[in-house]
Amino acid sequence: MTQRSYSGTLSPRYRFDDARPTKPTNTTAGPSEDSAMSSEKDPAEPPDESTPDTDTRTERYSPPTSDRVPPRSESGSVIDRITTRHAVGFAVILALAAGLFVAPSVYGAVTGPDGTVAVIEIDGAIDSSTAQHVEDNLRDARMNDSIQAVVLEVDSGGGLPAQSERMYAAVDRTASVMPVYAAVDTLGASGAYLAIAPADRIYVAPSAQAVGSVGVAGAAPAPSGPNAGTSGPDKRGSDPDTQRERRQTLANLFIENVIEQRGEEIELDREAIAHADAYLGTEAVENGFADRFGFVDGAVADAAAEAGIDDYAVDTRRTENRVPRSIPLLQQADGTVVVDESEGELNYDLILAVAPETWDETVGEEVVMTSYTGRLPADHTASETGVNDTKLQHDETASTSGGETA
Amino acid sequence: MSVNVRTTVGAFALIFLAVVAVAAVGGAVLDTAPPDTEPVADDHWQLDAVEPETVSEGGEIEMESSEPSNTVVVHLGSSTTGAGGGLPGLPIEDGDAPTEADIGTLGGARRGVTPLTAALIENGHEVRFYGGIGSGERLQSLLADADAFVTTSPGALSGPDADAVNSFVEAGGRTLVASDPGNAGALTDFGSPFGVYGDAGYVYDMEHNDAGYLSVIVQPPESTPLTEGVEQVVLRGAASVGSADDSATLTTAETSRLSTTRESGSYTVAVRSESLAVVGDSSFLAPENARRADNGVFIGNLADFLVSGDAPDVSFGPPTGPGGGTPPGGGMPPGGPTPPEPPEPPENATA
Repeated sequence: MTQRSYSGTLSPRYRFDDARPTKPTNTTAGPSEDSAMSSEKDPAEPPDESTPDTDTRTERYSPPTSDRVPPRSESGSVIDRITTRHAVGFAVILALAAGLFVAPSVYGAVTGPDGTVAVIEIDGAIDSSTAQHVEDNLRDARMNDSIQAVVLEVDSGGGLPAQSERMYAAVDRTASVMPVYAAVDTLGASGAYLAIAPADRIYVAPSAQAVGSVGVAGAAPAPSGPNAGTSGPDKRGSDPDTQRERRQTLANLFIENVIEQRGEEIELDREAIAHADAYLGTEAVENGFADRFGFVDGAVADAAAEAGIDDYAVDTRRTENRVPRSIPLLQQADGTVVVDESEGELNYDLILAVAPETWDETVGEEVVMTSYTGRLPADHTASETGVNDTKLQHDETASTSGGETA
Repeated sequence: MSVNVRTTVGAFALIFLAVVAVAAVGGAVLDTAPPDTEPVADDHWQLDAVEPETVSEGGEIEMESSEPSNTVVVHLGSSTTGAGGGLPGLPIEDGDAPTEADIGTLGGARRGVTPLTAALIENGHEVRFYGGIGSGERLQSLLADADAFVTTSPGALSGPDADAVNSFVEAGGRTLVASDPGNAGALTDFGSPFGVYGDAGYVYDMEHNDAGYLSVIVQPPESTPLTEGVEQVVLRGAASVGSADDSATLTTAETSRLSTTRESGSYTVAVRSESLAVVGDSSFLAPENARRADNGVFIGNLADFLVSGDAPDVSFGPPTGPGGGTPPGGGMPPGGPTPPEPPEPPENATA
């Protein structure tokens, strides 16, 4: 009888042990599971507190009867414990990976530059591709929030007036929203000077050799002969008076643009500007064609400071294809404008904004810039007599016409 | 445990929409349009602002002289080129230019003086061209029968020819020398016996011009027979000339400058010394310029000058061949005729 009563207390002992707080499973399962199990056992049998027992493990782990522990409840508890543990681990790993993924960006955002200074190159003879390069990049500078200043890196002796004006307008528009500085190396003359005239500040190398040259050049006005292939007398070319007036109109546009942009800085009067002289860097700073001595790096630093960005990046945008020495350009043939690839030169029938320093490489060496009389000096050609027909022709001309130059 | 699909999808959609909504609202709040650029000023691009000042088209070429038929010999230098052969002034040129001027009816150096020659012929005078020593004609023989002589290229005259013209001028033969820039040395050599010289360089005017700094507007300081009715003359490229008596027929404005010195001032571009008239430019004789300002009036006055007065009494002796000539006033030297002298090499006076 004693044994039976002993054995009859097996289930309450099990429940008693199970309810102890030091039980390992309780720490994992949580209080809710304990309370759930207790609620199931409590109505069955009250706890037998008079027979505290420290029985062996075999007794403790003897399988309970099926009516006391429902199978569904037992299997759900195990899965829940495993899922929760894995979920937490997975979340930790996921958070770590996400953090590592985001960390460089955050680090870059914290330590990276506050803005960008774009350096845009203006190089070689100015034609449509030059204007497109400058205009596209300046437009991008205006649209891109990160670019907060622009430096124009200039080494050009000019080119076509309209393309120079196109860059002029782009520079002027950009300068209205951010600092735009220009840095001139050897050449910043004629059309190139027109392009950078709206810049907020112009830096020049002290030894720059051509800054300014505010004027245009082209073939002298000449009448055209009768041409049965044209539909009107001016189709082959206007009369000389009109040619002269139109060339002067282009020159006046150039001069007025420079005065509009730098009239307060340039200390020369309009007549002196119209002389179209190209100045050395030292002279240009003195007469106001440039603002100060400097190079691209200095201009970049100053532009960044003007834009208020202490920590800045530099985005250099050079012309993708360097402008060839001589540009195949427009040639008028019976009123048709074509690209003359055979000549490979800028047609001198057009009026050009080109500095004399770059005349040869712009329009070719065959077109010579001569004096008023149009005759080469005799001593110049005499030594070259017989070298080629062209020079010989010049020599004969000089011999028969006096050969003096004005 | 069964997965509650509805709850899972709902949670996903809720979080997704929340993230998108935050991005949209944040973007709308934080996004800033590119700053508005200021328009490029274009007032100074209007034609009114940049159109060059020009002179008006001027008067007709009219001669007042009622002289009987005179013979005027005209020398233009090279038959293909030359200062008077077309429009002068080619700061940039490609070979012999203007090539267009040599096409069709525009061709020839004589084109450059057609307004003058047309006026002379229209008034009953005779014009004979002298093409230089290579033309097969002798200038001496032409001048012997001539009343006046015109050259637009004194540097192209050979030594004997220049001597012959000197003799012609000394004998009272009216002579017009239109000497473009570049001919200062030749003009001085030719004109020094008559107190006339040429300055190197050219005159330009950046303020008062006819659509170009080279196209100076000149005026007569006082009215003379050569400048009667003339207020302004446009020269497309003028050299400064001078005379011993400091008389000036035409002068530039005070704003003009000399290319060699760059000094501003009024420069003399036309002088007259008795029967010799010198103009430091030949472009005003070209058909494109003859009606500019009062150029036509000036050309008419020059035509009157050439045909007025008595015929010169000059003798050059017997012929010695083309281009050659006996020195003025001298007879045939012993030992036969003088062989023609070779043309002088061109001089180089760089301005």
